[in-house]
Amino acid sequence: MRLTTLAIVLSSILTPLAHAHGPKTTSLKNAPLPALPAGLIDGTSPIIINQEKAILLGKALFWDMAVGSDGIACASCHFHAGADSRKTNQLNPGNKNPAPSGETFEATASGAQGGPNYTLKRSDFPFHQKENPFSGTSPTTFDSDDTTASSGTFSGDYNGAPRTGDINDECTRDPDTVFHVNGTGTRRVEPRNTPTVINAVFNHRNFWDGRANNTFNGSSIWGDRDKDAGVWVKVNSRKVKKQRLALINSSLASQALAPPLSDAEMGCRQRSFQELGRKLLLRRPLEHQNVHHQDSVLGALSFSTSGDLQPGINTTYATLIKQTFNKKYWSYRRRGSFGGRDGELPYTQMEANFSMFFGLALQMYESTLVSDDSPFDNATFDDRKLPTNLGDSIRRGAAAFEELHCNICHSGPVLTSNAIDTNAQLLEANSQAFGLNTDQSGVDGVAMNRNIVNYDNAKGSKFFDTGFTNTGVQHQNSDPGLGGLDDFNNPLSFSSQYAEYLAGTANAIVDTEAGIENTKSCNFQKYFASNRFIPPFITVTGFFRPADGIIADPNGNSNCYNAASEAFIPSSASAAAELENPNSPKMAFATQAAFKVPTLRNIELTGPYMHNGSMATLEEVLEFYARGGNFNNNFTHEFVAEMGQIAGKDPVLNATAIQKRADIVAFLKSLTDDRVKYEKAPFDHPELTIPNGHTGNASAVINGNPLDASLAIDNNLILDAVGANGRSTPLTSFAETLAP
Amino acid sequence: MNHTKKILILSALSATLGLQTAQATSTFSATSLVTVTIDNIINNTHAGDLSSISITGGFWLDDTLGDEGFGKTVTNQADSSYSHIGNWQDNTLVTGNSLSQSFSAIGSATDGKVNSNYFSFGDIYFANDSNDDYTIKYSINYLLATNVTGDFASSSISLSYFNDLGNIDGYEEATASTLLNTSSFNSSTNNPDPLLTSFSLDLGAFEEDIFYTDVTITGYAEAKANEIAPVPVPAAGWLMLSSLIFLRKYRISTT
Repeated sequence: MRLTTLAIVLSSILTPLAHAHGPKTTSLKNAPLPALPAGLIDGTSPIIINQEKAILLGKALFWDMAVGSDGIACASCHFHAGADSRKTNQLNPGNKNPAPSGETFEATASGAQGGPNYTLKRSDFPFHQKENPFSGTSPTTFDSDDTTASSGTFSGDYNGAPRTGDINDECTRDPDTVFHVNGTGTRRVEPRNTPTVINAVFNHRNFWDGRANNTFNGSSIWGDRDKDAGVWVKVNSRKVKKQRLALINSSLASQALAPPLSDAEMGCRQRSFQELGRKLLLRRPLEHQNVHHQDSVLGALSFSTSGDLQPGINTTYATLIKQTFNKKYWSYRRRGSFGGRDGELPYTQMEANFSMFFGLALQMYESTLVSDDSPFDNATFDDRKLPTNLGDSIRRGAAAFEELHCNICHSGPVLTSNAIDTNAQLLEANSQAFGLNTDQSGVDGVAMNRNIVNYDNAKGSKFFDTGFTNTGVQHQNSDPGLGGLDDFNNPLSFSSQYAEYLAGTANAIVDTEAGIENTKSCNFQKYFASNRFIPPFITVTGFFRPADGIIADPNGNSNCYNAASEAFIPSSASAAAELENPNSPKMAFATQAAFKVPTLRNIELTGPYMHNGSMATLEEVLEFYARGGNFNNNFTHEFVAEMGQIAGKDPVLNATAIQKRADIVAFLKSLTDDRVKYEKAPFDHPELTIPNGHTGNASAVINGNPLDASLAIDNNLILDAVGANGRSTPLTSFAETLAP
Repeated sequence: MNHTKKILILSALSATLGLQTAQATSTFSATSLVTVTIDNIINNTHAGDLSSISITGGFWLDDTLGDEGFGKTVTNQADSSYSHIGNWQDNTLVTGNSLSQSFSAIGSATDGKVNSNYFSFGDIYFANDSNDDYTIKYSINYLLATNVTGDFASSSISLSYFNDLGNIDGYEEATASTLLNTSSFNSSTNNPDPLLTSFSLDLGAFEEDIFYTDVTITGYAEAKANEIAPVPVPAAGWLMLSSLIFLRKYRISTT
């Protein structure tokens, strides 16, 4: 073999992927939404027969306080640029952590006691602190597994709900064992920070751990995993049948079904969507909340006039459902098939299918919440796809964002690799959509070919799910994230399913609509199985070789990132044997403590940051990345490493590093859409009263809540109704609201 | 005046008087009249010979179907009831014959709530007991009306009509809600498309079909004793008027 050939071979083995630059950040304007599932709005008998009404229904449901058991709307935690900017009673003890500390509140970094009804201060952040915030090896001076999230319901045991008047459910309410101040119950707080709902339509899966399935089954969040899921379809007026529903690209609909039944977010325990339907259907939407006469969606039905805001809109939920959905889902008028509660008439078909109506309506509304009008979206770009008319700082920031490989995960126009379908559509339409070198980007290898499972990204060679990354924010055991299980003890991750599928495990794939079995090994970012020539003096342990037992990948080798010699997979026996090896170098996973890669659009408004809400400012986020994360573990992404360019450990380089961090922040702020900042259409909204901590403080509260005397009296944040023209004052960042 | 007419008038008067004397009352009322008429029967094989075609049917109501949700739940001072009048099962039909039913329900609450669900069935059975080919033309006429009064009430009356062969699938309804300050009236005469209410059935040798007409009434009313229902008298008058209209229609269709 000639020396040059050998060098090429060795180079390709040792560095099969040279991450030159990766995908460029691009404008979101005209980017396609994920393709709507067949049969949703098209075909001979579509589920939704009127999209405008669907959006109207979804917006009403999203903002209606009657949806919760005790006044919590979906919007109560998504009211500020689609996220939650409250600072009082927002702490959770970190109860995703199985260790004892997951049940107890820690003192905060400022030395305050924290806990229920605590008001966060600037000096409480970040939740992990080092002597030198730019050095990963610097001694840790503070760490807490508590999280900043959203206060929700008091919860309780569900007994029933009124169909008119009072919007609170009838629940047996007692002080919570964790969320209380001196025995007086406070509102419960969920364990993970509330992500923005704006642009969430692009996420392949939602929730930080991805459990909001891409496939909507009509009755739960679990997609095809839920074998009892289904919707009721009228055959004729004497016959109804339960059918499976599998709507792809409908993670928002899946997601919508969790909070109303969650005893940490909106609902009393044992509540059901049938009961929620019975509560709401005869009601006028938003009946206790003012609706602006210029509301971009609801205004035409409002009772308001200029200078005279009035509550509610002139219709009922049942009417809207009839106008929105195919009658085969609600016009069966006999009962008995759908169950019911003792002493009550059985549920109607409309009540039985309320979960489907709720999920799809919210998805249709949330799909309109696309912020594609930021300065960056309207910029002009040079041939490097860097902005040319936004000033030097933003331009340098955009370049630094790429140099530091932020773009590998925060990729494409949504700035997340979780936007799988949109990224793929853009690349299919234009192979240069993300720059000249996209063939070496994560987006190309993954999204272009629709691989939802990938290989590499963590130290060594590991499987990971596209759009989910471990960045070492918390200890890897504090919260399993994507490495967790669903309600049926199946792994949440696609990677685990794929590995078991390769090993021949029966029924290994539980997300049957996801296309896991279509994963093309030749698109992995590192070699997984290869029959290419390798000199015998080189020992290969990191991927499968013919001697291990490999077979041609049945998905072929067309349009692949890697060569045909890498279009192989291990034999079932080989894969199964390797899975048995806990220290396998070939079939390991980077799914533990991996979380959804969030969009960075409007990021200046959506703090606190990370899945645990542990950072208050973008500067703290950059410090975190500069020091290579908080907890460098075996699952963290390879690009989460100390970044000298922005760390500034060297005094000589410090000024440069400071400038570079400022440039990156400037670039991130150029992603803010003024329509979001001023709540202009489509981000306008009805009035909303949001529980905002309780009267008192973290040491003392006042009992006597009207819901139950044992519960603390709420303080409220009142969000005025805003019309399509928005508000006169801009939204502020989370940090700006904090006392020092 | 026959027994049926007496019941209808008494029902309307009773509802009217009840509404007039109610104070803190929420009410719903709903009524329907459904008529199926055999317009023509043609033997395409042996003209004029109708000996092998049979058309039978009627309307029925089975209030024993508890598990199907027929009935009501009430709390405190609230109640509802229904009436069902018309041609019952096993009537034999020839050209020009009609079958009709009037199906109504009322409910009220003065201090409590009532949730009710009533339904009736209509079956017309067509059978060809020969090798001949038949064409049968028939039509459906319907009136659906509902009204609510008081603090909080909602009602819906719906008609589903379909057949075993699967080429007919109709659904009509009338709904009312005090929140929307609406009453609702829906009839086949409102429907400009006769194709939706007139049908042609081709029955080949020994073929059969069943045409179904099912009516469902759902009503909910809720009131508290210290609340005064607004303007009950016009609503009572409306119910009286609508009942009389239906009565006249019923008389015509059964003549």
